[in-house]
Amino acid sequence: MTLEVVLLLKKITLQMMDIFQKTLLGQIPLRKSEIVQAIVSSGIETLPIISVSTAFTGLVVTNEIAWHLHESLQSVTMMPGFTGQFVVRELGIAIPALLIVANSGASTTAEIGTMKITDQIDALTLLGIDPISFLVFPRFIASMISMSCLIVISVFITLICASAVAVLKYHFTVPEYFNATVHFIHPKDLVGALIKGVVFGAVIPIISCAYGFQCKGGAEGVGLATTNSVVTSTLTVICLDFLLTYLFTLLF
Amino acid sequence: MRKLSGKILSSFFHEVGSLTHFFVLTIRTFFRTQGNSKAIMAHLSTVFSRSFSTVLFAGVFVGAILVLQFNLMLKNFDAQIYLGGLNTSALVREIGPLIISFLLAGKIGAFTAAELGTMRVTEQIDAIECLGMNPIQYLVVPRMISIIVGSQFLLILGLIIGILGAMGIASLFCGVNFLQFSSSIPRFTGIWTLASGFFKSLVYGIIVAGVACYKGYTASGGARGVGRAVTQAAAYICFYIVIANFLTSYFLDFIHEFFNLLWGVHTA
Amino acid sequence: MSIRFVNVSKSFGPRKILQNISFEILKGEILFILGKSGVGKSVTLKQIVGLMKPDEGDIYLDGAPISKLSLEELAVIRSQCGMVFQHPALLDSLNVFENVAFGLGTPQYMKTHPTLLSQEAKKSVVIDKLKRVHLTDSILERFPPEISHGMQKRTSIARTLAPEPSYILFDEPTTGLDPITTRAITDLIFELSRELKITSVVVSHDMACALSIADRILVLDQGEILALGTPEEMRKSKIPLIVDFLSETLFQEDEITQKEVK
Repeated sequence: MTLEVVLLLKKITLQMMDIFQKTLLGQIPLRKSEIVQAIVSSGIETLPIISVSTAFTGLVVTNEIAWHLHESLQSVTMMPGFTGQFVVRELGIAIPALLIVANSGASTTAEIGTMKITDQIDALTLLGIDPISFLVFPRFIASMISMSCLIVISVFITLICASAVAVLKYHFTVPEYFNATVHFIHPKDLVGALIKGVVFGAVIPIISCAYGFQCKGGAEGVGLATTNSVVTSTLTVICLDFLLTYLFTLLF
Repeated sequence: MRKLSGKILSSFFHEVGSLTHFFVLTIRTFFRTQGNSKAIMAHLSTVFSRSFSTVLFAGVFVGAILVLQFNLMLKNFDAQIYLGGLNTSALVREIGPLIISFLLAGKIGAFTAAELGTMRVTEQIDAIECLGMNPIQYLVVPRMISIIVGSQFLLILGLIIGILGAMGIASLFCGVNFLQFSSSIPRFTGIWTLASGFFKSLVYGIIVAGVACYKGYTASGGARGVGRAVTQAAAYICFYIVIANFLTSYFLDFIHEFFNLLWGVHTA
Repeated sequence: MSIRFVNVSKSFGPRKILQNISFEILKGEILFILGKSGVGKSVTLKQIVGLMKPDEGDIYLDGAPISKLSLEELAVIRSQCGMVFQHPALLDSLNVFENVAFGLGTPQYMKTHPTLLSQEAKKSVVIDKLKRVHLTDSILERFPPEISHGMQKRTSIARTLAPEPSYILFDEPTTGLDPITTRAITDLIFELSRELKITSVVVSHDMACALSIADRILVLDQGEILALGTPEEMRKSKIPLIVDFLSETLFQEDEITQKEVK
């Protein structure tokens, strides 16, 4: 990561906070239509891919946890609790977050990078529009909203698929499994999941946009910027996931 | 809605079909033509130098996240003695290969797609073809081989580092020291667990290599096209890996049960 | 010995690029293919070397139908038919020497020219070809991004010349270059065609270039051949598009003469 990107990240983050504050105080009108459009492009379009992936993850997780429980306790009665907690606290969040990095994060960088090298960003500046607030802010807000929604959706899909496997393969009855899962999932876990969603949703567009803005050269530059943006966002998400998990263990 | 989902499904199968075709073509070219070991070594060193530090970094954190989560859960059941075993087994069998290959999707997959895509849109691939060289043999085969081989080493490295990181975090934050941690490992982690981890890594490596080369090689349309190729490479690799995770998991389960039935041997 | 287009049609999805095109490129001539952007000039060129296949009809290179050849047979054809791309398309990972020598290292070429296997033999060929395009051997070790755009273009021509083709196809050789380099590249194309007796097909939208060196000019518009004839015939043409193209050139020529008068 070059110094240039770090400085850009700082600049964009400060500007986002500034605009956020001014919008809350009512000094700047909220551009609702652009935010809705950004939600559609970052959230709705990735919804199918996220749903399918998390469904498959759900199918796997029961199997794996059952295997481990069988090894350690020789019984799978603990499965609903284990699966529920693991999905709500970790797997149901990390998998969609990483998929969103690869999907909308990468496409944001590619889009802004292409605008940059075809001089569209300069054109915006000349028209008196600040490119950062114009391009980044709607994505920033939209990403936070759509990310938390996607995480809630994916947690539920994962749980449903996990319980389907439990019912079909490990002979739980539906109410039994449902009650056991609900018993082990605390509301604070759901709050934690939402917090993680909002944080990831805030970080991903800022990193992707910063890499887009510092894009140089022709086609090669766009490719490299997108690559770097995906890698940095993935690493950041993994690190933040660890930090937030640790924070929750301390707080809750 | 039905029409739309039909369209998505058919385009998905079309995509998978042409991807498979490209992969088979590359494999056939590999066996029919003379290999270029120098080019493979060069690409292998690029793969390593690009991803070594990131894989180490990510490995530590993946191990650390898992250990925190398992510690929380096991505390409920008063079963912290199993922490080391459960954590290592979950890391090797499932989460480790998954998360680290997500990282490789960006670090190697997207990079290769960017490289090949740039060569495609600046007509370098056409030039190679015009000069009478087979671009698949010259460009794709060495890249694919080195990514598949390199990603194996990187994944194994990431898993080892992940286990070490988990040990460190366990002794720092969870009150489980190295000895307690490692004593329960053999109970869960046997030959079969290692074999499943390696098998998954191999499948993920093939996905990273195949999709990245395919997306880069078939890019079109200037800088925008390269951007699209890179984005799609990253997104599709992650998506295919999640699906492959499911398929390999059930396939390995099936094989495991088959062996148990056949010999009545129980292997962890 | 010629390239013949017989009833060639090509479309991308709903967009019809070429409709039923037939013409012949004669041995030893310089043929310019002119037209506005996006009328299928580059597509025409890429079909000759089999990088794209026509939907209907076929192209015959020395009597062989291009779209029906196997990859091995295409490789033989391609060794006689070089192409210079719009971007210089030099391989970024190789230096100038390796780039120019690239065509000498292919299996097809090594089979037919066993004398050129040694590095020294290759080097003398490369230096000879670089001289042909007025470059010195001082840039041999440099990499493409380190040399100027005009030099990249010349290197790319040298690379095409290395396997000694009998046809060279130029895809917009002067697009994006300054007027002086444009002039130099145009002269180079003329020189190579006459001295080496190479058939040149040049895709361009530069009428001035075409008028100065072409033997014949083919004008494409909306997927069809609008006109095919010598520069003299073009100058006399009354077709609106050609008149437009010509007026652009006349304007430039006027400017030049005015400057000379001053």
